Amino acid sequence: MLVALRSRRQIAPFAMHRPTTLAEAIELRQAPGTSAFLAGGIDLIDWLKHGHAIDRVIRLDGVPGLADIAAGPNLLRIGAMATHAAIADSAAIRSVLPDLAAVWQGIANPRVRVAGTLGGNVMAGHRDYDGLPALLALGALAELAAAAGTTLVPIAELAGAVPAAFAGGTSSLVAGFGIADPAAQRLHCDRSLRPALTVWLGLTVAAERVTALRLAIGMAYPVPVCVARPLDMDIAKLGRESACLARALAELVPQPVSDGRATASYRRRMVEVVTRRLLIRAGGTA
Amino acid sequence: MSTQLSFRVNGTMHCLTVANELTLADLLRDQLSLTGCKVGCDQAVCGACTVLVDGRPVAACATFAFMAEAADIVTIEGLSSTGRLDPVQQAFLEAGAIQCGYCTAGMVLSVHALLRRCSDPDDATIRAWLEAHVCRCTGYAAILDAVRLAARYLHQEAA
Amino acid sequence: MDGIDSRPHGVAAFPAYLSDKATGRTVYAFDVALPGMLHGKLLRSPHAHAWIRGIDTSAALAMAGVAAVLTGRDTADLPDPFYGVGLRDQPVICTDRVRYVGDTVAAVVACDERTAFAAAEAIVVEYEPLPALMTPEAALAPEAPALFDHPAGGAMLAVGAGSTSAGEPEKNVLCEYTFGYGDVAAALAESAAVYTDSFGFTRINHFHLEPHVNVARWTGDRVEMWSCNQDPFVIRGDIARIFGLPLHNVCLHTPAVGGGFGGKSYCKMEPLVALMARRADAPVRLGLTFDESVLTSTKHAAILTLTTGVDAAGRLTARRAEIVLDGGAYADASCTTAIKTGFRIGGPYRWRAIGSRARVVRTTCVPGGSFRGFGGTQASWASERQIDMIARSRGIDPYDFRMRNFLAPGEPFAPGDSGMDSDLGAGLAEVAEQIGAALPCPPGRGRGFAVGLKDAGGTGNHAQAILKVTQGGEAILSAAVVDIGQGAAGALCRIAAETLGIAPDQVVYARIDTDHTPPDNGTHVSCGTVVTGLAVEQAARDVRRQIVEFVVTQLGCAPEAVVLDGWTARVGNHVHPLEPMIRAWYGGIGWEFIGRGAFKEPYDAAAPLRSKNMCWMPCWSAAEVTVDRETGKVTLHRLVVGADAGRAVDARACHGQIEGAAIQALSQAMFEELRYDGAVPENATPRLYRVMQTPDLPEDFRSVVAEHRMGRGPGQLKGIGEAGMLGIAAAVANAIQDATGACLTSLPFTPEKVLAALDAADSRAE
Repeated sequence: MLVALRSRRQIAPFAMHRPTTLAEAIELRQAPGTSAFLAGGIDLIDWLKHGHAIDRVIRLDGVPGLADIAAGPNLLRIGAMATHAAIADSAAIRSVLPDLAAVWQGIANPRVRVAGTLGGNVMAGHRDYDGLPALLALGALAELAAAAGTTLVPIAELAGAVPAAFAGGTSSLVAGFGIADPAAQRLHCDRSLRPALTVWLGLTVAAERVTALRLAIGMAYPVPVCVARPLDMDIAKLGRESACLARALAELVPQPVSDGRATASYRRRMVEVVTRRLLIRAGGTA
Repeated sequence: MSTQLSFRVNGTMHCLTVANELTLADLLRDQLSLTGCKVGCDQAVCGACTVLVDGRPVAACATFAFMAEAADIVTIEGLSSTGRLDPVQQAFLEAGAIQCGYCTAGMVLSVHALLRRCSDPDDATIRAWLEAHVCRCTGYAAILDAVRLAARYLHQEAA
Repeated sequence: MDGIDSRPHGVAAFPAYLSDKATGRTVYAFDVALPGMLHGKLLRSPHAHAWIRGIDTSAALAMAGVAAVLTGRDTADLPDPFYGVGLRDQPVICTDRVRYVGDTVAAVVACDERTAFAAAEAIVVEYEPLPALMTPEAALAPEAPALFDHPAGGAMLAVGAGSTSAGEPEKNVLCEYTFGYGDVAAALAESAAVYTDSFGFTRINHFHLEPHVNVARWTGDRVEMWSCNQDPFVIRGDIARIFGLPLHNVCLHTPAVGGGFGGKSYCKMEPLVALMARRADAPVRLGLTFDESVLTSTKHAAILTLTTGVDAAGRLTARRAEIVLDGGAYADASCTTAIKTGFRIGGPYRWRAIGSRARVVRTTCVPGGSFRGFGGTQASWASERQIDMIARSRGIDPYDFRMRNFLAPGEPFAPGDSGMDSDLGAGLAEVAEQIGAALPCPPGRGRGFAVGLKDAGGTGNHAQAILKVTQGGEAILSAAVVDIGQGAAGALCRIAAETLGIAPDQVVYARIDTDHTPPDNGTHVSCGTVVTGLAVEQAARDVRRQIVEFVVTQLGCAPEAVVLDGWTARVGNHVHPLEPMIRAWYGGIGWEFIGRGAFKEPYDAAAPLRSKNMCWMPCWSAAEVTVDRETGKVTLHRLVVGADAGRAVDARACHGQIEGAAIQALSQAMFEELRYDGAVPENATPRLYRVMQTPDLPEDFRSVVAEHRMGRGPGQLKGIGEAGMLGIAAAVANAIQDATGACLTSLPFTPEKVLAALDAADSRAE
């Protein structure tokens, strides 16, 4: 793009399609020519304002069920087209994984929450966005729908592939995200040190014992990272062990980037500090 | 490549054919002469282009016009008729919350959406809601006063 | 709280220019559209520094819908295609080289914006990169190439006694200003202690929500422009000079402006848009994208090194200041910024001697220009930070230290200059009371004070005003002060109404265009209400005199017997309504009284800036913070900012000005910065360039409008628009030091930087 010429007047003409089935959407995506899916539109439109041109925009708001949120004892499934506002206000999510609904109240701003979707947020591949680190911390799976059928992949696998979302062709569509055994999951996050980093702590808890821990870091890497470790600890002991655990986790995370916002060493130091605080917070809640 | 649309703006039905790449901001400004919707940052950050679509605040610079199909849109021009002010506009003027005015239309519409959702918001709620807007002139203090005043006016109107 | 029902309601209760903003009716430059208007777009340099070896515009010109493509060649026949304030080194469009990422290389005019964008993409430019000079240090290095190989046009601004100024004294130095009085060396030698500290100040962008927009239309050899600019008469003069036209062949119209803060002061895109319209032989609108506006102008980054002495009794003795300002690629308002930074470095204190030198270094960055507080913000940051550090070093309470050293009312800021027109001690005491300084700080918190200062009103400034009043007492006021949101129009109308003795809602402010509006030197340096205010007051008095003269001819009484009261004349016990009297005499369409007013502050070679300063603008600030020792994150609990309006014509507008400025300054203090990643801007887009928003506000934020009644404007008022910028950064840094001992000497106070300062403080303690 020419220097500083980002503008809505640059958006190049395109054909618009509004498929009514998942299969149709995928078929349109695979057809010859360049195309992109339109979810909330925030990131696609921003990309187009930078002068990128595509032949086809494929709206997803006509495909039934893509925005559905379904909570069952074994699985919480959030459709890719669910908006942030819908997630924050969802009674279904509140019933099985209240931490997620609570955290999502504060994501982005009210205007973005109403239009932006979880799928769009993840597929934008933006290093600063919250969708990916939150799902990583929850150990979520992504539901990839392709012509041949649907596959589930760990969200971490998706993370690496995401920046290509607008650019090249991809043969599948992220239809939704699944969190297994939702009632056992806990999510705590600290976004107070933006834009240096955000820290997301996910725990799996069964009968007051933490069996798994996942730590995701956003805004400090080109793509958010996640380190996981199994645990076997009373949740009430998390506080006491927090310093030790946090130090170990901070050593495990990859080297953060240094940029105009913060240095790698500050970020790594904060991973330890913030993780410790989140562990104390997590240990204090049943 | 264009799309036929019918939608309502400020109570009036429109049927138009619009280019697919046209944003809602440019549809309102260029084709309907509703220039109260300003474009500032053109990146959905500043909120100057906020309009209400089915009661929800959206960034018109970051919304395709074709998304307006069957929608009920309210712009700043639709809030009051000539010579009158709606309670939120009144509150903004009284509280000294308007300096250059470029952010005002989007802010006023957004406050409408807030007060419909929560008729008596506390300070934290107001601050969180207004994160969708940038004002470079006022330093926000008078705007927070305006929102509290608007809440009282709307409450009075409802009573 | 008074009853809601008793307050004025409805559109008619507010002046139209304000209620129009609430109802979306206001026309900004952004909204201006002319029949047959074409659209412009600019091709900008991707290099920080490069020769332009060739530009191939053939593909662009061949595109359907393209009316014109301009390059530097198109300025060859212009008499003087450069602009800048004092020194003029910025070309209307680049000719042989580009000097910053964003510099203008080519301009396209087309039937619509999309076509103009596409044509810009089709222009092929051959660059030969040159070394980028991204900091003053790099630009001053011996091996650094000279950014300019010809001297600039124009001249460095002249100064008065005790000051010197020089243009282009050495390679890559745009200008230099020195200021001094007394014997600095002797005073320092006699001091009980001398402290030397360096302070860093960052580059920020104005971030006015309305980008730069201009529309130009030629008719023969006359050009009309609708411009977002704050200084229509300055632009008129520049365009006339650049194109070799008589002044009256150029007419600037000023619609409402969507924020300026100095970013729309002096020449920006106006000459180029005029050129584009002439070449295209059609009206042309050039609307910069927001990102282009970010790359147009910034506040000057600076390093200020202060050597300050203090005596055994805790009195300041002398200060030597060495100031380096990063001017960016072109002069813009750098000459005046250099002068103001060097001049203001003493702050609101009494000194035996001052010796300061301020230099603007040319770099390959966005040009530094006029930005609210210019020079005063840089100087106040450094000075108020060091004052606090010195006080702590001496074991003196920083509040008491300031009180001990303040200039007294009437005391000259410098030999030959006007006296202080605020009670500095009283202002600080009021702000201290507001922040609860009588009580000890809650545990874990720190409190900091700062008193910034700048001169206001301009140098040798002048303004005129015309007031037309109908026989029914409806008035229209014409002056060139541009309302950029600061409420100047309203304040000036009030002054006219007060002087005339009529209701404020009877006076409206006229549209501004340079054919009809009386001139001034531009809407900046907080001069509107004081300088133009005096002209308005005089115009209103002229109208009164004419009315009295008319009444005398009608009633045969003595002039002294006439008392004007509302729109009546009282003579003895009789009240004569004016309208019937005027109508009866004049008939026809009715009569208008037309009053003229003018004000000029004389030049004075004995004053350091070549004219005494109209007024002084202190900013009293107090901040209360806690700091998270582990993360460095600063929580600002309370911020109180005070300024002196002299007399507040519109108290709410004064509060708005103080608060708006304070939040801009707070934003810069805490995180806002236009950064470069090597030679390329790192965060020059709205998503990445963070400005203060509502969740960032302090819990308790309040402004104090003092009225010390010593101003020179009507009813003792004075300027207040920039005041709120001045003390904020230092107050917060002082509070951080009070809370933790961490000593910050550069902006912004990011958590990382604060943490490093905390670590350093702790290791000093060990």
